[in-house]
Amino acid sequence: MTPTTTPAQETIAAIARLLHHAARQAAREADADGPGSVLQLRSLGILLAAYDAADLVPRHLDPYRPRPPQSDVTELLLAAEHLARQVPATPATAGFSIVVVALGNLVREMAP
Amino acid sequence: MSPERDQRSVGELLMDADAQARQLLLHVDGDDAPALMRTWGEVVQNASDLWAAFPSEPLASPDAGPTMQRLETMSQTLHHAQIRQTWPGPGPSHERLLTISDNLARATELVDRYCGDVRPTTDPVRADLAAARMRVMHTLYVGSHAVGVAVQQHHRDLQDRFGKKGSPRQQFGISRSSRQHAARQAAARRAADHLAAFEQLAGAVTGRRFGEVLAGEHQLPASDTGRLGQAMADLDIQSHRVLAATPTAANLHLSAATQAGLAHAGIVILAAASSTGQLDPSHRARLVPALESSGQAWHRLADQWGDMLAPGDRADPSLRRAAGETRAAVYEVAMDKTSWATAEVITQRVDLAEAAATVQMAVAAAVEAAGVHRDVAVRDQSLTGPARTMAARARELDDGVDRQVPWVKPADLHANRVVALPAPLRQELVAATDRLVDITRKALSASSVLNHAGWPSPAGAESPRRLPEERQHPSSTLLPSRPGPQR
Repeated sequence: MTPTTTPAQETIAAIARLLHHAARQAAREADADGPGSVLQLRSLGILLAAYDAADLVPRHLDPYRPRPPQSDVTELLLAAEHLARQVPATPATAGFSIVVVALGNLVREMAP
Repeated sequence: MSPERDQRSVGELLMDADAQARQLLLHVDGDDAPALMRTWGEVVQNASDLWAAFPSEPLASPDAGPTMQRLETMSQTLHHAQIRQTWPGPGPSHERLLTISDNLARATELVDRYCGDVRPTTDPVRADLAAARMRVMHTLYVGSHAVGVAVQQHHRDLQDRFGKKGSPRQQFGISRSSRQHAARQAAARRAADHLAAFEQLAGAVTGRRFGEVLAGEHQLPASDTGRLGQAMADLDIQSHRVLAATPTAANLHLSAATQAGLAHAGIVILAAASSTGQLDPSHRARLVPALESSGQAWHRLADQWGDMLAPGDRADPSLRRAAGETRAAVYEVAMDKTSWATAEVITQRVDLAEAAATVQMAVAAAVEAAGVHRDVAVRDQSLTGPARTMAARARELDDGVDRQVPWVKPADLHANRVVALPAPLRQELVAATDRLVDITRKALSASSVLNHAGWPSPAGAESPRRLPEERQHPSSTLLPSRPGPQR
């Protein structure tokens, strides 16, 4: 029997994918930037948010793939933040607030 | 025994209020709604009092002033409606909201007392003042959302328990109890609508300017390196525990990414120690390249583990917590808003000789962690990855060699099943972890110079390592952080 998936779970999976690829992209850019790149610590923050979001995704959904079309870290983060607004606060999405708070902080950290 | 004095500054009280509002959002449910509603009015009243007590200054948003007045009026309307209605009725207050309320009241006391000392004439003071107002508004915004979520849930619970208010049986009231249930539902519904409007108003002020305005907030310094050292120790313990029990790609990925972040943070801390004369420049010249190589090697290994993530892989919560705390501790010491802090700022926050010693411990722990990753790469025969990524990576590593038997079966490729790690990828992983162990050992060897970090430099200058009480802990630019009256 195919497990059922709610729209909120699908949305959180999409957010996890965006964050996961934002984190990996940020880490690559940090590596290219050279020693002491500020992006390194930022990428770790994004990765933690990605794993927090992935934890809320049922096991039959992939929170890592497919890779989103965006490649810019800020675009990926903003897309995740935009999607997060669509997730309703219900008992089924309990725990998502952690991701919302992390996203808010990350977007703030990315501000020039 | 006299009660303990609350020595927090206005900035700290407001940050705590905001943090409490966020925490509230994480924990409320429908059962909390009556207590929340009994306490919410007090929070808004105290926020409004604080707002009025701040030195007058053009606001970041011209709408902010009138909005606070409207919010206060809305809250009073709701309060009067509650007195008339049967819901929520008398009962206990909500502890967390009371804490927020107390923080705001205490901040008002401090502002009232010291307002005369503060002239918002310079840009940093004006920016700090704008940030303080933004904190107050954000606390109301997040708080109203949390209370609204609880009230909506409570309303749904009432509907589930007693049926919808609109049912003829309740509308026309066969029994007194039915009428009461209907009235409670109606009151909860009205409160939820009211809170939604309140949230929208507060949200319009915070909006997209929240980050921009908060960037001007004066930040209090970390007191010492204790948090960083503790966080690194916890990370070390959790990494060993988690990777010994569940060496999944997700846990290995997160562990490696955290180590990469630590290596880079170590470079920043050592650079600060060097530029303030607490680390010999020749030692820095030896250490920094070693940490650079270590950071790069960890990053590349993290990328390899990341390629192996299967759809059902999740990072262990205890490892996530430990990594998050480590990042927060590094942030507190070495970050200033959105970039690395300058050496001058870091040296105001921590004793850099202590911080350098903490970096040395992190370098030693990285050697251990690298060994754990290598053991998994060499010994764990259950390593897997998604078929398409594995096939693509194996093709890259085969370097154009045309194989008769593909590393990944076409059927697995088609369905993108989770498959065993192909041999070339295993070899690549083992080589990467071997290299990592070697690099981290070299970094440890280089870091042994930190044992002498407190010695005089070759130039003859005494090490300026300072006692904790000599460190500068500037108070908020908004208000002095002085001991306040008894709570």
